Amino acid sequence: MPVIEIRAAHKTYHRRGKPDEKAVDGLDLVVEGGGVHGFLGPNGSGKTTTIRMLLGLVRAGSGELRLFDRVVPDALPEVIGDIGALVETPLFFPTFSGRRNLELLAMTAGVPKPRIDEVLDTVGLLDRAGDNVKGYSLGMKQRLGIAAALLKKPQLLILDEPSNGLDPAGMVEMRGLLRQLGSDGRTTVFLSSHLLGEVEQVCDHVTILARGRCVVSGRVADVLATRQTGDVRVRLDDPAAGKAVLDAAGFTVTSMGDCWRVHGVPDAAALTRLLADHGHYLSELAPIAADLETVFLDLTREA
Amino acid sequence: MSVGVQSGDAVTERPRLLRAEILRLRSRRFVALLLAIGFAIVLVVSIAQFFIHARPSSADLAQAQVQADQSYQQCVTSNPDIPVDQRDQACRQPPQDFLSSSPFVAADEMPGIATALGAGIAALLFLVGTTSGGADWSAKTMPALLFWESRRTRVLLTKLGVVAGLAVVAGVLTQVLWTAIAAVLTSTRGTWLGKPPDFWSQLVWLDLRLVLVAVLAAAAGYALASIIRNTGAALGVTFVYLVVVENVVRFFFRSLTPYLVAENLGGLVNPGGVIVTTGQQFVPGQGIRMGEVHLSNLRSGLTLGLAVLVLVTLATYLFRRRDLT
Repeated sequence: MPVIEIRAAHKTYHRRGKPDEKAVDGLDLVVEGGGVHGFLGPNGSGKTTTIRMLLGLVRAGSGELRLFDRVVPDALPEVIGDIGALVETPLFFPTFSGRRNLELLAMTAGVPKPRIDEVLDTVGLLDRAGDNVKGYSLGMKQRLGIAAALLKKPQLLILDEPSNGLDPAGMVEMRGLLRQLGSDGRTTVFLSSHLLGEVEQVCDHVTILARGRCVVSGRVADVLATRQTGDVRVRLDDPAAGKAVLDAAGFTVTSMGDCWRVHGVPDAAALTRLLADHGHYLSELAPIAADLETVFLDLTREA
Repeated sequence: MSVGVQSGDAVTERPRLLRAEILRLRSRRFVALLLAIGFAIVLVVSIAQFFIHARPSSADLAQAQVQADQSYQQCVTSNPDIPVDQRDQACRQPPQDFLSSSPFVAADEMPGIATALGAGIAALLFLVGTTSGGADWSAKTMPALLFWESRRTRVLLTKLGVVAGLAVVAGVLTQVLWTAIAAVLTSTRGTWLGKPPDFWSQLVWLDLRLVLVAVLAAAAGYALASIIRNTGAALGVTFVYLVVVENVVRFFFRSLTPYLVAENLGGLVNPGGVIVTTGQQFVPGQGIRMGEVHLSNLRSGLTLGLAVLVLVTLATYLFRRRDLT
């Protein structure tokens, strides 16, 4: 059963004195249970609006949105207990301590008090939990927001740019946490991020959004495979002589520092044979995979 | 970061939005500050009353009674045309008017000061309501709360209920505190002289009306701040309405005067209500006369209650409909 299911969702913002802004334009999206699902898109592509529609903060103009197979926002009260969310900057009462802010939320949802210290410990904020939130750095507020999202031990964790404000160590820790949650067999993490490296490292699946529409969705490896170029990197003992052989055979060869990039190789074994037949032996041959950044830029540019 | 506990259903207790909202309100230092100001006002007024007044001696009281009787006789003698059944009303002055030592006269001072304190507390509770509603929007915690309780109407009405509940508690405590202090003042620095037989029932009835004013003020403040989503703007709108709009209506649209907030506040608080004039009107057989409308306690209470209900309904409707971005 999909955890998130969106069919033909539209959302247009009508703002006084400004032209209408089409934020989501016929979005289809399915997120199956378990693992970490990345949600990528350039600024203004409709990621946050989609998340807000799922959480009932923004009403969709048309289309159907489901969480745990229940239509939202109507059935949101039935499923909200299984959802933890952090949308953009976490929002807390600045004059309350971090712990008091979490206490208020925990009380609202019926979460037992001991769970508060557990999540504070999880995000490394236990020592500063008694301080007022107004004294927190952006990273600490972000950690507190993640702690709040974890309070309910949610089956679906929706995180919108959770790395904002985190220092490098914090980002590494957070990615570890997300991987751990995504592999526990119970939790589905829906991660909206503009950090392509983060998504590539953490996510099993990815959906890329552009202009309010889904341009590609699937396993990260499959998405990357759609943009494989067939290029390989080769390293030779005698680079100049090797290149001459490749040029003569009709390959396009470009320099990659101390090795060569051979473009559009349909069969790597044939390349190896060709060079060996001319007395050149490879010390390295590696396919050059498209990274998510390349795929992302290609797809969003095309859209 | 690592998950310190095994995943499982963490939601094991009954959700208590009401308790959470009470805790949220209790934790707000500005609310505590406003309530402390209210308490301080009661104390300052009480201390001032203690030093202003002095208790009359038995001889003073007896002499005042004699003077009051003499004054009454003089009035009756010099105005023989006053009908017998109207002589008390026209000529009778309470004996405390003749006391030279200015005691704390419970019959006069208690209801008046209770009204003043009640009005002050209502104003403070309007501020509490407005800042509570505004704080949720300025800190943008309202959308965050909806991740935990997605039923918007329930969220808004619970918050409003907590503010109204605080108004009941603060209003009752203020009046109980003042009544207790006034009783001590009367015993030490004043007199119960001139206390009508229904004094206590009238005082309790007045106190209840003042508590109602506090509740309506708090609810109106919260609803207004929720509609406008900003504390400062809500206070500004209130000021402009009370100072500008109501005066314009009083001057140019006198027939609408019975529906103004200020008039109805007077009608609700004053014993027996108030009479407001609604401009000139033609009365058959009597010619052109000033129109008058009696705003009884009940009528004014209903008018103000209806106005607050409209604000709350509008706040709820907008909160349900709004996109929270």
